[in-house]
Amino acid sequence: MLLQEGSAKMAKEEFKSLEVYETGPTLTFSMGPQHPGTGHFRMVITVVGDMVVRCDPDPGFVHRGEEKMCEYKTWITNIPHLERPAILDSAGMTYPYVLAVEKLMDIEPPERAKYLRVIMAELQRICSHLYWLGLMGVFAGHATMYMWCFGDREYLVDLTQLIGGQRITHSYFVPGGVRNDAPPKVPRELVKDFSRYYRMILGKDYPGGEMPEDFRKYVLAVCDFFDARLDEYYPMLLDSPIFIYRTKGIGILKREDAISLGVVGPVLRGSGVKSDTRIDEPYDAYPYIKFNVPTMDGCDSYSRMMVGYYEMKESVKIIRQAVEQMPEGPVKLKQHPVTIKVPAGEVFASAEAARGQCSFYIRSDGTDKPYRVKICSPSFRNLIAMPYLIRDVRIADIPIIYWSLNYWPVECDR
Amino acid sequence: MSILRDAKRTLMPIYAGLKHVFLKPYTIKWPYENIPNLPDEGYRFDPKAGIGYPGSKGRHLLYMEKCTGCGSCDLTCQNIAEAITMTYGFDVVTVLDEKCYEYFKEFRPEIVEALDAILGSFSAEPSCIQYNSLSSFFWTPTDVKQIIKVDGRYEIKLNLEPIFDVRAVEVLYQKVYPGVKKLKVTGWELGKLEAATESASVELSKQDLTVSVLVRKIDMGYKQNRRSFFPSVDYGRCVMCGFCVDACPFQALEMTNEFELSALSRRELIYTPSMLAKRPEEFNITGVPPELNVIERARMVFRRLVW
Ligand code: SF4
Ligand code: SF4
Repeated sequence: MLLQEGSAKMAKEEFKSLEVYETGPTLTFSMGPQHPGTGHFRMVITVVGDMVVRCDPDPGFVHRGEEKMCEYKTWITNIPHLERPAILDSAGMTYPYVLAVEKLMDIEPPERAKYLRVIMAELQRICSHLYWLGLMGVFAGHATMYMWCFGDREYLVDLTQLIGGQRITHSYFVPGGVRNDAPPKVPRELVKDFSRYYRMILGKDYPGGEMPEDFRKYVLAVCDFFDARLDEYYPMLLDSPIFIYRTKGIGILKREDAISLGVVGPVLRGSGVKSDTRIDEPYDAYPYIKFNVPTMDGCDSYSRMMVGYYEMKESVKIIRQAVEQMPEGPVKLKQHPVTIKVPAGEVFASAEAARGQCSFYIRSDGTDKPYRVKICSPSFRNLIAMPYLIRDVRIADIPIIYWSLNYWPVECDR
Repeated sequence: MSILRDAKRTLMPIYAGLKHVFLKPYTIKWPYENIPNLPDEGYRFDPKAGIGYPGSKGRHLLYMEKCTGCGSCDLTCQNIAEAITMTYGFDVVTVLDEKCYEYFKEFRPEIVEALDAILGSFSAEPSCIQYNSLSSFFWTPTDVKQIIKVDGRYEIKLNLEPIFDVRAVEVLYQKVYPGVKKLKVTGWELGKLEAATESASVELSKQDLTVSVLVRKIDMGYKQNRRSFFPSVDYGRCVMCGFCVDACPFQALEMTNEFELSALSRRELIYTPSMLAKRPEEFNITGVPPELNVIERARMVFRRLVW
């Protein structure tokens, strides 16, 4: 092959800037950019035999320009597209945006709205974690878990549908409250259908009494049901040797590394750091609710999965308390439904999404549109741990480590 | 010890799973079975109280007797998905003069070929969706026998139900022009195209015959909406957020629990105001669920009995 002088020189310089490892014969290939469970994402992986020596994550395949898009849409019409990056957890994604706009406007939502937001956010946290756990079952070669998680997820998705009108992406939170109250009743057919599973799992009748369609009763029953199901998940997946041998001691992220890399959410808590925005900077109704922040000291993939598992149990607790404590009253401040005035200024707000802390920085110049919106999504912050974890492991461990980070490419690329 | 523990751990999932073998499965066999979790109510918004009512966010429901054509819903959706377009209803009319009418009664080939071309292009599906045009997919067969005499001229209405579009000239271009252009070959001459937002017409002449095609706006007779200006929704774009419902100051727009909106072409996804005005039970786009054959039915019964 004939190389021109200039390009040869450039190649030389480029070669100099590369890090060179003494590893023997290596092979570099790219994993992706297909759909490894969550979205389009590519990893460039260098292997020696079966051992991975280097992993280069290559995000950006699903970049949608959400931040720029925010500058062209009004304050309220931004909400539908802002929940698209994390459709499983649309509440977690729009929560910080709504909190930030409320801070700018200096308004406080009504009490009932705060509780409804908490219920919705926790329901979607469970939905998102069930997806995480279910797909982890698939990656670890355990198809039953996938079926179970998705079967149980239906009842929680149904609950979000009753409140928000859709199965996912509800556009439910708006600055100044929520868009509608919870329904007083659930469909009779749904109660009939659900009570059968309730009896199947808990071995007792659905606690209907006089008014079996009452919303509050139904939510509490779903909480009981799901709690019992979570107890069944433990021997099924998390205590089974298939899963333990594949995840224990794989992808170790030490406590100090986790802090210095700045990871968030279950990944950080799986490394033994007790950090949660709901406790550290409580917002909305979280100060009135008692719950724990589960942490694990294993620092490996197994710990991260266990944190997810225990978080679901905590979320059930939160929903139960929120439903019981929820006061009556209005759910939204009186304002124009689609055109709101936001004064000039800048603001930063964060909330705990399912994958960790999600933060928004918003700058307003007093017009009907934001001047700048900066999104710091949890997946983006967890991505940085990936090259550190996928190193000196076997190729077969890549999916386990990748998915134990609960990485969601769409949320990362925004 | 560790072997024993592992053995127990290995057997536990089997035990946990075994219980479920004897229980009825979760799966709902939609569309053969109903979906129990669908709220009957649709999402509504009360502009006076400024609060929405919980319900399904499915296809929209338009109350034509309340809508004033203010366009607030359109304005809101321009910022979200650009799914809503405000449209007028149009009639397409072929106008024959006295002589043409005589020829038409005798089925002279000259006039038949002209009418044939106009009708043919009117009922054909347009080849593509043009920007900002919303010609409705559903056309109704023309009733050629219904001829009205107006001012000494004879009018044949080509459509039974109104055609909704943004401008009259779009209807003319998409529905009539392709056929009319072909008539040039057989000696017809195209007159000047007169186009305005509310009406458009083109004149055809051959020797002493004159046929004109006229697209004119109809008055649907709603007192609050004299212009007959209604929203159409393109469900290829709509994300079912329901903010258009919030934006409507007259409670004219609601949502229903109809979610089966799939179609075989993009044009079928554009719902005209008259389609949006029908309740889900009146207007079932997907039709009846497919019939089960004997074997499938037997299998479902068998499943019920055993589990
Ligand atoms: S529900 Fe559909 S039509 Fe209405 S504003 Fe949202 S995207 Fe637009
Ligand atoms: S549906 Fe409502 S918002 Fe839309 S044009 Fe009619 S009255 Fe106006």
